[in-house]
Amino acid sequence: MAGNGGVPARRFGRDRLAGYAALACLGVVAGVFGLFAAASYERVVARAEQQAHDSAFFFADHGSRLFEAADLATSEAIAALEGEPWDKAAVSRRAAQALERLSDRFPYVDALFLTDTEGRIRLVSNSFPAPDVDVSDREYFTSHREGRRGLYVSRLLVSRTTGNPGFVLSRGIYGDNGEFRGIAATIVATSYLAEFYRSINLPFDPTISLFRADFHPLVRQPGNAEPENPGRLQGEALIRKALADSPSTELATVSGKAGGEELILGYAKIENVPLYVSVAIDRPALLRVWFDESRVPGVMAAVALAALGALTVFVFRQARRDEEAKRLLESTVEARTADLRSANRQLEVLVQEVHHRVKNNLQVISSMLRLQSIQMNDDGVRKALQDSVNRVHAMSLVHEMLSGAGDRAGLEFREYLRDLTDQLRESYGVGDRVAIAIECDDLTLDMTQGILLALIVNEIFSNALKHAFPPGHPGEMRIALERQGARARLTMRDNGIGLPAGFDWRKASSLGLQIVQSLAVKLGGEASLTTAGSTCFTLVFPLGNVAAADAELPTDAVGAL
Amino acid sequence: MPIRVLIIEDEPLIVLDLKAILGELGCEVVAVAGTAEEALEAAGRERPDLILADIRLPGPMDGIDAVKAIQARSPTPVLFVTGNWRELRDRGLPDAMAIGKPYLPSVLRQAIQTVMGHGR
Repeated sequence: MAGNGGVPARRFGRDRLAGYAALACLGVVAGVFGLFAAASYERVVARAEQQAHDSAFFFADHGSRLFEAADLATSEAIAALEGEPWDKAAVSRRAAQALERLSDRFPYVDALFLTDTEGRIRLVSNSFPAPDVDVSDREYFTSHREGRRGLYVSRLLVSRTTGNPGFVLSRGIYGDNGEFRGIAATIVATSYLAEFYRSINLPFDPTISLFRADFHPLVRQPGNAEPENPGRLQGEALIRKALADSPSTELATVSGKAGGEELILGYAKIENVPLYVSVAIDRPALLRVWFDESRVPGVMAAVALAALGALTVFVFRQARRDEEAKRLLESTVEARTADLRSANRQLEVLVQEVHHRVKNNLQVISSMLRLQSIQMNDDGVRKALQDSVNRVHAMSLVHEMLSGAGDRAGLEFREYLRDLTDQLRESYGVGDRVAIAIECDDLTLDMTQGILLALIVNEIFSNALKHAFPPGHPGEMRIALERQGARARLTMRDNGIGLPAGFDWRKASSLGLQIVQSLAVKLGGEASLTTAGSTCFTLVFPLGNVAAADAELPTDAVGAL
Repeated sequence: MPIRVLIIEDEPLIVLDLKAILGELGCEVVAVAGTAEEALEAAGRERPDLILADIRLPGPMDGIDAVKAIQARSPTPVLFVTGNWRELRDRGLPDAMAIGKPYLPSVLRQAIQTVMGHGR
């Protein structure tokens, strides 16, 4: 079993290895896609930062041109007054028309108007004469009245002359001696700016804000700021911190968390006007772009991962099935082996029992023959019975050796020859008078062939012991059994007194020699007996060819056995 | 004094043969037992000098059981006459004297001399 365990173990290893390889591929694909996705996200962030920066610059530049023109219109409105007192100017159609032309020239200008020192509108671009409107409470008016010179940008408001939302760019009007005479104001329509911002189709869908230096929002696109509720500037905290850290910086990009959201934010100061523009890109917008760009490789990676995942599952399932099949096979083999061992043990016991019974029966036959011989007075009969006893012993010795053979499949003939010749010398009481020399190749015979050869040796050797060495004539018997390819040669040579002259062993009446001839035929062999110098019996027979010779066995020979 | 022998053997023909051979050797067969129980009883009664024992016997006990029981009571020389040598070794009697079946009278004679010579 141990020897067989190696092959399934290697198969198990290969199956598992394939599974781990598929798993590794799965990991590699997932890893590569992960790296690609991370790099892609970084590229998207970099692009967003660049976008915020460039857009802020663009809108600031646009605002600069816009408000510079508006400021110029404000200055021209002051020039249209031509230094006239308010009562005269208020009824000057020419001056009112000049304001109207100025207003019409700039689409983002909602209206232009001039106020007196009390904050009453005296000339306005969209109506003549001017309606009685008081703006003395407006911050831009009070700011100029309190001495502020230069351009002022108001908070987000609803115009009292047009009723539209917007903010005011204003300047003070001063007399020849520098005394305050009122203000000139341009109302900028926030709807125009919001529409302009909206019309610029930017990636990342940023939020564009126009705001004052105090972070008061004037325009926000999308989600326009309302005058009643302007709200907070998006990313105000980030811009505040950036400006606090570097007040002179007029164009920058910052990123971080503000107002609960992650932002990339570009901001820029508008030249010559106390206003800023910011472009804010939030994380959801980043992710949308990132997802859009990763969709194709993502789908490809997902397909690859799904395929590899399915392959991995399949391979591991297959490996598990193989392992289960292997375990089942092993347990089946173990059970079968145990059954075979048990059957083998039973068979062994049975064979031993058969051998035992055969030997016991042979003992009974031997005992009967011996008891019969005791009863006989005729010496010839007694010797004949003793010969039969010896034949029985020759056969029983084969059983004896086979029953003790263990795992050996046949009869070890060299050992058998030694035991048989010892027994016969003992039986005939020749002692050391006859020496035995055995030369036998390693030859194992099956039981049938072994018994036939054993009986032949028994007869020839018994004959020699009975007749070749009479008292006072010691000698030697040489027995050789040698393999000659697919055949074997048995040679039995003695240096006894020899056979009578003219002896023809084939015509002899001796039962023993008839038995030898018959058994030689059954073995399919050729036997010869020569008497030149010494008596020599030779038998050449094919190994393992007894069954074929069965048919040729003379019936009288069987009877003789 | 002839050697007094107890034969433990259930086959009558073999018993007859053994008796003839033992008679030629000048031994006296004092009892023949066909079962282990008979052997125990005969050994107790006859106190033999030698036991010739077969292994296979009818009944719950075999020849080895009988010899072991007799030896436990009174150590007696034993010669097993058996067709199964291996069983002696397997049953814890590796040194027991034994001859195989079928035996030659000369072999039996020599074995008896060896056993008695050992003084067992």
